[in-house]
Amino acid sequence: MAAKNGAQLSKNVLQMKFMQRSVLRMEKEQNEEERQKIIDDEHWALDLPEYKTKESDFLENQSYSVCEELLFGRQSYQGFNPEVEKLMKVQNAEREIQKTEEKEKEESVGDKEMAQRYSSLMGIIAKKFSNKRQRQSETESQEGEEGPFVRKFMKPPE
Amino acid sequence: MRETPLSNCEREFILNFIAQQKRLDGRKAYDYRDLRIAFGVSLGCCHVELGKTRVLAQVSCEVGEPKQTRPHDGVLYVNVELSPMACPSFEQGRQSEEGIELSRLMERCLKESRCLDLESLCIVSGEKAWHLRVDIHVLNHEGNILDCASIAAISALAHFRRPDVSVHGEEITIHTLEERNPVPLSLHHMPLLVSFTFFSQGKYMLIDPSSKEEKVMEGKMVVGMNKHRELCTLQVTGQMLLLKEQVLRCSSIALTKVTRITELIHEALENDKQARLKGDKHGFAVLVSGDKVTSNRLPKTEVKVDTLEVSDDMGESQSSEDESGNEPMEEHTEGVPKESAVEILTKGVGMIGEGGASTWLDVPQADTKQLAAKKQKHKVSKMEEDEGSSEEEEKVILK
Amino acid sequence: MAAPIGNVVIPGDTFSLLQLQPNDEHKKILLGPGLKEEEAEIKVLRPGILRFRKPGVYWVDCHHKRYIPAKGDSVIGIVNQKVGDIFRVDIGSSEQASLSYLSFEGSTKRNRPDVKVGDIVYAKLLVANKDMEPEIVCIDGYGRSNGMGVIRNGGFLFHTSLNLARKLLNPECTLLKSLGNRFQFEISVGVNGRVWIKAANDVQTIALVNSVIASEYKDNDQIKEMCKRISKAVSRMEVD
Repeated sequence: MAAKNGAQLSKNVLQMKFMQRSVLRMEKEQNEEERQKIIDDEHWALDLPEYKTKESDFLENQSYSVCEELLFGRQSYQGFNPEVEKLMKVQNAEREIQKTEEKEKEESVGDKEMAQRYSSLMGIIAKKFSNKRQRQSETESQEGEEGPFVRKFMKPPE
Repeated sequence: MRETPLSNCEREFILNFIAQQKRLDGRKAYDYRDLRIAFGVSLGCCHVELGKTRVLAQVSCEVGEPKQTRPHDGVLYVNVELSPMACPSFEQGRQSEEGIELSRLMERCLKESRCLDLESLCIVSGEKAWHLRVDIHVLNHEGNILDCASIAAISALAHFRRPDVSVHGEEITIHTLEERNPVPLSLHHMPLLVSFTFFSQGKYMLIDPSSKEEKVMEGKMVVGMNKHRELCTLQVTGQMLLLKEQVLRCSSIALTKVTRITELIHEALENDKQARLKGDKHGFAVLVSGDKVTSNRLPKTEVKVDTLEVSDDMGESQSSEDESGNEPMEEHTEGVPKESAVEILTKGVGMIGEGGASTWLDVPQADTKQLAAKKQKHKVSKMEEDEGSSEEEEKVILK
Repeated sequence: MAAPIGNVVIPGDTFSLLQLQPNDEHKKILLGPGLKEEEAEIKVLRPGILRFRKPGVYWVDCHHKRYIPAKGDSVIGIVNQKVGDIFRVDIGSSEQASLSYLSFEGSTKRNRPDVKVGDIVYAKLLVANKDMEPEIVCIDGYGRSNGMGVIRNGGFLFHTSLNLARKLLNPECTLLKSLGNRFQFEISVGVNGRVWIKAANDVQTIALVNSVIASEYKDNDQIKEMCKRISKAVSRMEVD
């Protein structure tokens, strides 16, 4: 097929009498393709107004074990079943770690706060190590960027 | 609905335990569970509790034609109803194999023992006779429905009164309860069924099996007997062979049980009669006020851990109870009748009643009174004061 | 008005988001059993006590005897039937759960696990939907048993209310710890209300079973008192 082979025949050639048959065939093919496409779309996608999927504020979970944070159900005491006891120890340790982590999180500084603090601190410390000229040029360049709202230092009138 | 299957470990454990001559709920081999008999407001209504198994029997009557073959007799129908309420595996409507066996045995016990004088139910020979109907509803299945049902049925029949009838020539008058006092049925004797379950080729025998014991049993023998030592029914099911001695032993055990239960039924009937005469509260009303039939009560544990006392240092444990243990304990034993505060000698195999084979341990009266007094002192008594008396009347506890 | 935490709620009660505790971070609120979100409101589906746990978990605590499968629950099941390459297991729900023979540790198509009808298994619920057969497994996501699988070597299984099973597993309940101080035993608790106990001998096992059953309506102090009595009684018995 001409079209598929990529070698497009020019309009002039197609208008020639001996090409009429293949022109018809090509048209038919194109129509068919379009119709197929329409059918496909109709079958697969319902034409409905778009759903507004608002993100829910809730998660649902029907398990009591999740809600109540229940312990693991197999337990052994005084070395009756060492296998289970070992498992219990591991799980208890995990629980402990989780607990302390949570505690730490509550007591210590949050990531965001830390970042904020650090970024502001960085400027101050950086200033300490730069000399006067550098600082000046820095402020100047900043002022230049900041547009018309920035006040400029004016020479006092003599 | 499908029944919960019995796991292998349960089966093994129970069989093992029985082989050690112990039972899960701390009873001895020949002990019944607590038995309570209560009557309803209407005549011929009886509610029997055997442990947690509950059965309600109701007797009703109507006038109809006697059977062609026995024109001089009234008719007695026995109907056993196993509803899913008792146990989810029972199906509504369809009679299971178990249900058929039950109703057949009940029929044999009540009809073929000729305990009821059917001739007295005849009004006009060949034309009119009373049709009696005993409906037995199983309310809860925790094992040994049969014994419980037979107690309920016979008590209900003894409690029932039919309307009086007078015949003048062709004219038959059925008097209402207001016109004439209703007439009791003429019961010749009280046949009762006692089931024995057997384990390990009949080596071990238990009375009054719980539902779990019923699931692991090998066979069962039902002995129907009255207190005059007359055998009314005998049935053996299951795959086992019994020795002659065993059968004889069972029948002698059955006799002691039947004698005791018959006494209890008479006692309960007498108490109900007195209450009705005095115009006291009777029937299920008493049960409701005492939280006995409401579902909201605290479920009773089979073995009462709260009343656990080690026999040797009773003095010590009691004194500690008075100081601290008693207050919180009261909350939990409330609803559990005080008479059943069994002294369990030792945990686990703590037995209810310390007697050997087929002896009955009466609860010493002094003890219960003491307890009641103690309760009043603690001001926890809600219904205990009136309970103390009415309970003894209405309920009979068998240990 | 805040949501009545710790109070009785009844089916049909509703709460709005505002009535719930404000949660600082952007964590979602977790609605547990007995609660359902509907049109930006929370509706109560079961009668019971409304419970809350930090950071934002709400659920209704009500008395149950019949187990309703929920994904992630650990349960004790009784193998009831072998059908082809799955086992049918009774977990106390309305429908039997299915358990593939491949979901045991170390099992392959060749190497089938040794499970007989009537055995009890400790398993986790993998699929638990309404109107669908629940599916349980005896391995975790990494193919390890992690304590799950067939429970062997005797012991005794009994059924309790679901509340009691949850109470036993609650980190705040002292029963198992105080029994553990006095007895040598092993226990498996399924949140479907089944408890399996094995102790040194049958008498101790029964003693433990009874103390577990009796502890349903006791608080921690009463439980400690009870454990003391029981261990005394059992030790006396064993001397006799």
